[in-house]
Amino acid sequence: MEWMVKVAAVAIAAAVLGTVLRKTTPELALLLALCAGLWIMGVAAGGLGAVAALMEELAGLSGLSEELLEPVVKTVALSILTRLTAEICRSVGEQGIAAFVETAGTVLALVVALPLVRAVTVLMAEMLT
Amino acid sequence: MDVDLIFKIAAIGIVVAVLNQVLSRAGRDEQAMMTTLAALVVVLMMVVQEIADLFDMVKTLFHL
Repeated sequence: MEWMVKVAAVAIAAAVLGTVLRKTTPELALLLALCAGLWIMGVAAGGLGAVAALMEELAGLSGLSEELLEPVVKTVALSILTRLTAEICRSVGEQGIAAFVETAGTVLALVVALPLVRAVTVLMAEMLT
Repeated sequence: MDVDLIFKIAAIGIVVAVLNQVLSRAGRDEQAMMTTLAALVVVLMMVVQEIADLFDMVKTLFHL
């Protein structure tokens, strides 16, 4: 709870300072927003680590193999990075770069998920033959 | 990483804005431009380290 209060305080302070900076030096306003976002992500990292650990624990209990869980975790990390990067690009008005980043993130997530698709195909082939 | 960095960036931005105004009123527009550029580089150097830390954090968090 107290961390969320800190996050809210930092976010509002950064928003106010960013508005002050945007009039004269928009590039520094972008870096300030980026810095505030990184700090907030750092605060949220502990919770994210706990969730990842719980997912691995549940997978271990249900007997899922490690290589089946790995693409899921990788896709989550990819989507976090893609979304953050695209939104930062979008907040400075670079819609084009944001679209490219999102496309690249989608393609890379598909590449990461390929082993899963292959495993499903192999399973189907085994069931059919 | 500390919250101080955010306030540091804001302070640099305000100082540079003032310097920019003073220099451009004095008719030294190219020096005003140089000041803005130097501040951008300085702040970028500060933030790049944090971006690298974020990537490391994501990597260690998901065991990538």
